[in-house]
Amino acid sequence: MAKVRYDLNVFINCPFDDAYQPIFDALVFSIFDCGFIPRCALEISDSSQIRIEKIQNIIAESKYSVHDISRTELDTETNLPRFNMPLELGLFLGAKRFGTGEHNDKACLIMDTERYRYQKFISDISGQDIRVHNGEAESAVGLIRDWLNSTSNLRTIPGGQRIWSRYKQYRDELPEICAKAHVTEQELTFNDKANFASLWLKENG
Amino acid sequence: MVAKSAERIVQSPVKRGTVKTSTIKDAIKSVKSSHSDN
Repeated sequence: MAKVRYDLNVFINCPFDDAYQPIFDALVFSIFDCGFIPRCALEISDSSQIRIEKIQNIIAESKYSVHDISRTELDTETNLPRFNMPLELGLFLGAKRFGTGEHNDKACLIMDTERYRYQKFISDISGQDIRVHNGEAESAVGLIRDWLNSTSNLRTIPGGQRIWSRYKQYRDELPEICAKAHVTEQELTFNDKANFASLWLKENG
Repeated sequence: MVAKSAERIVQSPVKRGTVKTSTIKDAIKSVKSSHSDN
């Protein structure tokens, strides 16, 4: 496995529910295709470690992060909203503001489903550049590609259409690849998905 | 300007998954080979 590379790590702070899965999977693939390493809380299975510590450690190891603050709906069972994503966005902004050395160079992409909607529920981030994906995976791929291209020093990042085209090919082949690997798509963990995407790109890139 | 894909380096994940890397590689190569035969 790779060494921790601060300047290549991209922390993903997004919903983990089934409805968001198409965007999440596309983000993981796209980050690899751009030459970076996706990181998220799901990568650590050590149940002895407190969740917030896992997230803090990943934020400490990541120069970049993408935050999707679109999940504002009330939980159907509790009738309450989930605040994890705004909390983790705050942790990242705090690390950039109060951290020292390389942490001052942290950069983040904030995404939502609609333009200016965030002003009604998290107005303190007004003035930041919030990007809109309209709930579409292809749009999210374009957003993260364009942002990494403009924010990083990497000049080898493919175009958004090229990444999306490769992702569609990967998705088409994934059921067959899983069958040959004797695993179902539903059984793939985040780390598995990351390995599958990275290795597929190395073989087919 | 958009760079050629061959110039970029695809990184590896930080953590190990539940499926062996060699198994995934073999599966990917097998599918690629079967598609190129068609």
